[in-house]
Amino acid sequence: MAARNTGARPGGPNKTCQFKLVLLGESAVGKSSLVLRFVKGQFHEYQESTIGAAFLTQTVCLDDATVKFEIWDTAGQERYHSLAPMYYRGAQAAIVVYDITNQESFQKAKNWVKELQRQASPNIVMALAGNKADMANKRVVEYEEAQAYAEENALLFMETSAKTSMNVNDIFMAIAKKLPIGPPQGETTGTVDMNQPQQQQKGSCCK
Amino acid sequence: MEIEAPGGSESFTEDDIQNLSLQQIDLPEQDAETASIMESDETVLDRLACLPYQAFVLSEYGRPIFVNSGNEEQLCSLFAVIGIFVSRVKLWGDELMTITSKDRQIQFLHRTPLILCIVSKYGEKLDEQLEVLFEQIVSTLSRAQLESVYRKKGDNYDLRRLLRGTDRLIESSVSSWRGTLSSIHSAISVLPMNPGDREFLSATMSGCLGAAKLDGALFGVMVAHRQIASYVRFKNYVMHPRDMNIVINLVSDKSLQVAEAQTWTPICLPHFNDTGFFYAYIAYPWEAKGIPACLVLLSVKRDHFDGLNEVKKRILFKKIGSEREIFFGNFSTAVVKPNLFAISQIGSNSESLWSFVYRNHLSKQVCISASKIPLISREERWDSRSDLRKADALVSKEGHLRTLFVRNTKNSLLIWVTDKFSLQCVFGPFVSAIVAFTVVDKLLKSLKSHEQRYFIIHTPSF
Repeated sequence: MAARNTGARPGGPNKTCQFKLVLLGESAVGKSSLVLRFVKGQFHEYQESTIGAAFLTQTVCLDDATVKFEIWDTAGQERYHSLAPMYYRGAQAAIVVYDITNQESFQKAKNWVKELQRQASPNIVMALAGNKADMANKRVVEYEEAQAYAEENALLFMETSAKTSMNVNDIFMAIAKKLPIGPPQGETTGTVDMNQPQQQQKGSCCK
Repeated sequence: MEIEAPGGSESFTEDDIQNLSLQQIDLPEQDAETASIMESDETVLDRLACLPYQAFVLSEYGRPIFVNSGNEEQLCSLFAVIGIFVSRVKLWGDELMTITSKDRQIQFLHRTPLILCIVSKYGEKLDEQLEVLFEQIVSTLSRAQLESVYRKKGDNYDLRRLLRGTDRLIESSVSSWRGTLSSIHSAISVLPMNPGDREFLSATMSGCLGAAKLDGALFGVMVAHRQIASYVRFKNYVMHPRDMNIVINLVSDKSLQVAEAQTWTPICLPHFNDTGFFYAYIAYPWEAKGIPACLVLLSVKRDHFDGLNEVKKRILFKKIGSEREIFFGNFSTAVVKPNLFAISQIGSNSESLWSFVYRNHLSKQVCISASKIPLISREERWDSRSDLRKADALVSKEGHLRTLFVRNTKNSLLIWVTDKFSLQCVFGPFVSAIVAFTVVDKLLKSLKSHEQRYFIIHTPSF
């Protein structure tokens, strides 16, 4: 139940960097399940479809820094598509999710990648997640095919399973490692933000 | 006799300045796939016949959109029949409204581009139920989009693509209607709270929203158990009770009750403006502590999430110290153990009164008594509510009806309607009319003296 590594204490020796990450993909591919697994370590077999978009945070510790992810878990339904820019605008990272048992969802994922390449920040770190890897017996999207596509487009790629938690933390960690950590605060153009409200919120949820 | 109506006199439905322009959401031009399995089955119809009510939504073209507790695909022919009934009568230059059979009433509502139909064993206020159902669908898409989507994509468009994932919201709207008394959807129910605590909460909410100076943030609501704990608004903007119920229905969805998660979603409030969207910031700030209270902040600007997130933090942390600690203790008790109006508190003879529903017509708020002996079990409460529902229907049918006292074998019903309020009571079967009216008089006095506990008398603005 309890949230795992809730991160470094304010004022600790590590740098704390805050990054905005967005999850995109066809509905019912498991975006919310990935997020719930990553943030709360939970999995629900019948995860209800997301309403609008859910905002959650999770902190991971790297060797020399603490990365706080501000995660936008968007709903995959058609009617919300035009709202997506509101979530990926200004995002430093994106995970585009498809379902390895659903060819259509892979095509949708490619469309999302294209949209992000055109519209999102040019420095965005993009990952492709082939979810539901535990259902390999129903696989229709081959690992090699997705990997080749990811390489062509310079995406991080992993097959994941929110159910078994395979590669879930790994994909977020891989993203964290690719993010521009290091420059002291205020130097980059607002992408790295060490601000007060964050500490305030920690006070609330760790109590 | 001049009766003072408990529950405030602030009108809930002034709509003089509600002409704010709301944004549209662009819909994608491309269609998504739909794969649905046809599974025709005779037994489906038999199953339907056993249900107390069944609601259908279809396009004017006869295409199934929604049916509660069932699969639309299995009922294609039934949907088609509904569509043909409605369009045939329309051809005659008339409008099909109801069909009545021995034990069923069928109500139709044609709201371009949709046809809605309900088949029910309970014939009360079905027209209003269909209006609510229509508004529930409009809240997802807006009326403007609902109409344009058929213009753009043709009459045969399958609207379920755009409504995907909202079935459970429509279902919960329909079932909340059936579970509560029919009057409730055009009114709101208030969470009983200490007046001082409610004032503290409202002042904190309106103070923080006002200080944030977010141009377009109009409403703040604290909801628990589908009841309003506090409601604040920008200037004179007002939320219609039916819009409020759409918000309540949305935020009561289980999927939103995740500790430390916030939701940001567009929602159309049809009575406010059915052409565009509000954006709702939804948080369950104390979910981790087991307190199921929900903070909803509504803005017409889609980029207000961060601003409203800050407002939430300020609301939660304002005035850290003893005042807040006391408030929070009281508030969590009010939410975790809701203290509904106990009939015993009105004093002598109150044991003959079993249950009541009081509704203030001006402030559109209801107060329902806590259940007491002998109406404790689900069936007992359901039966008495059916009686009250029938009484309610009688009142709305007979416009001139002011007071009515009926003694049945199982109970006695008392109805009292004035311009300011309506009151429906279930008494024991042996009570006399005189005693009943004495008790009711005491009830009204008691409600009046505790009105700030059971009603929102003043809605602070910021």
